[in-house]
Amino acid sequence: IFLIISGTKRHLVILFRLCGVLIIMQAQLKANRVSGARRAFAPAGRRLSVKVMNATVLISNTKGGGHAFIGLYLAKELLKKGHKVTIMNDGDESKLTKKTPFSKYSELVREGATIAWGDPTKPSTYPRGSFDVVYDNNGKDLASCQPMIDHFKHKVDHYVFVSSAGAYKADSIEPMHVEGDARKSTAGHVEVEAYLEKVRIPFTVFQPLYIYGPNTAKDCEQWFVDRIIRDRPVPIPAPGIQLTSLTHVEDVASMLALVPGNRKAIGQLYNVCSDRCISFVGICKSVAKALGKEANIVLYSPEKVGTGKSGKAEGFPFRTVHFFASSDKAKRELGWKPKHDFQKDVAALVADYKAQGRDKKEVDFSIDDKILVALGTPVKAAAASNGTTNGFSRVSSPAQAESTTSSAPRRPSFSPRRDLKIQRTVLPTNWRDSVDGGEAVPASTAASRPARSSSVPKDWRSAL
Amino acid sequence: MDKTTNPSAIAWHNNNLIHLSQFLAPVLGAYGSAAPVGSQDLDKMQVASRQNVRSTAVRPKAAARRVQVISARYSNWRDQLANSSPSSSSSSVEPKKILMMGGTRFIGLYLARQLVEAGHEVTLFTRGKKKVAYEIPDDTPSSFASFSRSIKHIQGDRMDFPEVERKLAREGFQVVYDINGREAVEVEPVLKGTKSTLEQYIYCSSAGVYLKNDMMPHREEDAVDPKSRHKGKLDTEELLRKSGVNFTSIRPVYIYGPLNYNPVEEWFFHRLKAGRPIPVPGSGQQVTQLGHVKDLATAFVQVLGNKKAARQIYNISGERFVTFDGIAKACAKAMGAPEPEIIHYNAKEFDFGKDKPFPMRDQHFFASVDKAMADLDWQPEFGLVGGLTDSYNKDFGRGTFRKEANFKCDDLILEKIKGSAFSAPKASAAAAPAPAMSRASWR
Repeated sequence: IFLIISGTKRHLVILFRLCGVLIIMQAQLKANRVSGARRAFAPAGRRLSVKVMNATVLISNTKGGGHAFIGLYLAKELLKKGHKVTIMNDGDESKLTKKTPFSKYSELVREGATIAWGDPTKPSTYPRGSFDVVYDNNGKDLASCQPMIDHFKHKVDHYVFVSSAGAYKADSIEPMHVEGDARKSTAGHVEVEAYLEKVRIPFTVFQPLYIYGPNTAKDCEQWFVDRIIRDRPVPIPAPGIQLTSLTHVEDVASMLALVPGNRKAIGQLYNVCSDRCISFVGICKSVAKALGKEANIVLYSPEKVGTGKSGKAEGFPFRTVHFFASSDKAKRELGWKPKHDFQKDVAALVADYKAQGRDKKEVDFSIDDKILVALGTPVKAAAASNGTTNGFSRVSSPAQAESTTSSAPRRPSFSPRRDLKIQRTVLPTNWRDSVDGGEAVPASTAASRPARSSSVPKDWRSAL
Repeated sequence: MDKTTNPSAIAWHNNNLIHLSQFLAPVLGAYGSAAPVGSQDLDKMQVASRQNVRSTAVRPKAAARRVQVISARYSNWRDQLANSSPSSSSSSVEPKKILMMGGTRFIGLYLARQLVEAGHEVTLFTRGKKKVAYEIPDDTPSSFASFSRSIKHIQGDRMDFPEVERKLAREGFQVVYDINGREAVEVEPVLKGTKSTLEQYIYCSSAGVYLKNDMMPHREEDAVDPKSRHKGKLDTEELLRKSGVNFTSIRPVYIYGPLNYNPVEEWFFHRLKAGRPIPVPGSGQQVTQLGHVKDLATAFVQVLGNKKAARQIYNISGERFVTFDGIAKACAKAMGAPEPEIIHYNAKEFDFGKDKPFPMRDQHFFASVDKAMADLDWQPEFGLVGGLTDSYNKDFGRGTFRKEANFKCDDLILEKIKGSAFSAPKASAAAAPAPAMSRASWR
C-alpha cells in the first residue's frame, strides 16, 4: 500500500475499491458470525476452504469386520453429493457377494458407482484411472497400507486412512479419548500415520469406535439381542457400567464424506463417534425394552472366570474398559453433526434382526455356558445350546413361573434361587443352614447329587 | 483468515486505514476534516479522493457512490465489532450495574472480582454475616485494594421477600447474577424489584436436575428429573422462562477450587494426607466431571451481554471426564503424594446412617459443555490435575479446609473389608497436632 501511494490518484481509487471489497468480505464473515442467521449464500470463509467439485473417489474396502459396511454407506453418501465413486473390495468376490454388506453393492451400481475386486496390497489389481480422493478402509498396519500409499503418493489430492480409536491407550483416570491422547505402542495404525506424514501425502485420519447399523458384517448390538430374545441370561463383565460409544454407520459415512474438497482436514486426525455413549447395562435395557422383555443380566469378572485378558473378555463383543471418545473436533472443524441416537434406533435394529430370521437361528452359547457354570448358575439343558431352542419353554415364561410358584408352599420373602435368578438348580437339602451367616454348606459330593445340578456357591450373597 | 475475530487482522485493517487517512488529510485540506479521524470523516475523504479539487457541490458519480456504500458498510462493520463481538464480551460490553445475590462464599468471590475488573459496578446482596470483601489466596494486595474499594453491598435477607423488593427498587440494576437461589419463590421479589431496568438475569442452577440416563453425557436438551434434590432449581428455571425475562441458566457439575465449602477435593486430600486408603463405592469406574470455580466464573462473565445466551441453558464444567478412581489418583498427583491405595466396597452392605461415605453420587454424572464452548466462546482453562494442584496450593496445602476430617465411614468400611487386621495408620497421630489455622480461617 505504501509503495502504491507514490502512484497516481487513479491507483489510489482502485486501492480503496480493493480495500472496500476486502472489507465487505470481512463484513460478511463477521456479520454472519454476529447475526447468527443463515445467509442466502455460503459465507466467504467457507467458500474459500471448501470447493464444491465432483471428485473421483476410490474406496479401498476391507473384506470383513466392523468396518466392512463403511464402504457401502460412504459410497452412498458420496454419490449423493455428486462424486464419482469406485469401490475396490478386498477378498473373494464369489464368496463375499453372498453376505452383507457386499450383497448390497448392486444398489451402488444402480446409482452409478463402479465396483472392482482387487487386493489392496497389490497395485496391479487396482482399478485403472486417476483418482482425486482415496479412502483406505482396509489396512490396519503398515504392511497392508504401504503399497497403496506408495502407489497413490503423488497422484491424489487427498488420502484418507480409516484407522481405529482402538489405538488409544486406555486411561483409567480420564477415560474419554480425545485427539492427541497417547496411543498404544503396539498399534499398527500409528505406524501408518507416521508413514503418511513422512511421505508428505495430504492425508486425513479417521478413528471410528464401534459401529452399528443395517447390513453390517460384524455383530454389535446383535450379541445382546441373541440372548435377550431367547430369554437367556446376558453375561456382562462387571461392573456393567462401562461406557462404550456406539455410532450409526450413516453418521460415520457422513463424516468421512466431508473430506473431498476440504483442505482444512489435511494433516488432521478425527475421532468418529456419536456424541453420546452408553453403558453395557444400558444396552441390555434398551434392547430388552424394544423386545418387550426383561433382561436377565449376570455380572461376572472375566479374570476370575478365566475368560478375560487385558481389557477383553472372551465371547463379549466389546472391550471391557471404558471406550468412548470425543467428536468435538470433527463438529468444530468439519461442521459434522451426528443424526442418530442408539436408544431411538434400537427398535429398528431389533426389527431388522427379526426380519432376517435370526431369532430362529442357532447361536453358539458355549462360552456363555462356560461362564455361567463357573459362576455356579448354569442354564438348564446346557446341551440345548447346541440343538435348537425352538419350543423349549424356559422358566421365565409366565405360565411356567406361575405353576412352579403356586405348587410350592408360600416361602419366606428371601430366596437364593430367585435372587440369583437361577433357572433350574437343585439346592442341597440343607441349604438353610448357610443362611444368616452360619456355616457355609459344603458342596454335595458327586455321589449324593444328580449329575447335572450344582450347589449354591458359598458366596451367593456377594452376587446380590 | 479463518478467524474473523482475528484481532491482529482487525488491527491491521485499522492501522492501515488510519495511516491512509492521515496521509490524505493534508491533501484534502479543502475539506478541513478534523482529527481524530472518525468513520464519518473517512466517508468524506473517500468521496473526496475521487473529486479532489473539483467543486464540492458536484453530485458524486456512480463510482464514488459505490465507495460511499462501501465505507458505510465498513463503519457498520466497525460498530458491530465494537458492540457485540462475543469473543471479548465483557471487555467490549459497556459497564453495567450488576446485582449479585450472595457472593461471599465461593463462586461469587471469583465472579465478583472478575466483574469488577471488567469495569462493572457490582453490588452484593447478603445478610452481612461475612465481610463483603476479604482477602482470598488469589488476591494480590493491589487487586484486593481496588476490589474492596469498588464492591458495594446491600444488606438484607433474601428470604424476606417484601424487604428484598423494597431494597432493590429504584436501584437501577441492569444485570442480576443469582448464585444462591434455591427455590422459585426467592426469585420473584428480585424480578419485581428490578423490573424496570433489568436487562439480563443469570441464574446458577445445577446439573443435578438431569434425569439419570444410560446414555451419557447429559446435554442441555435432556430430560430433567422432577424428583431430584434440585427441584427448586428446575422450578426457578421454569419461572424465569414463563416470566419472559432475558435469562440464562448455568448448570455446573461438581465445582472445585480454592475455598470450596463442599468437601469434593477436600475429602480426598484429608485421606491422602493421613496416609489412609481411599474407599470408593462400587467399581470406582463411575465417570464424573469436575469443573474449576474460576472457569465457572469466567463462563458467567461471558454470558453477560451475550445475545446468543438469551433464554438458554448451559452446562459448565471441565472439558474432560474422570472416574472415581481417577479423582483419587489425580488428587494424589496434585498433592505430590504417592499413588493411593483404593478400596472398593459395595455400598449396599453398609448402613452409614446420616454420614456420607463418599462425596459424590454413586452413578455416572457428567455433562457435555460443547454448547457453552461454542456459544459463549469460553474454554475451561484448568485441566484436572492442574486445577486440583491450584486448589491444593491455595487452600488445603496451606493448612486450611472447611470440614474436619471424619473417618467414621472409612473405618466401618475398612473394618469390614480388611477385618480387624486393619488399624488406623500411625499417620492419624500425625494429624493430631493439627495446625492452628485448621478450622477454616476463611470464615
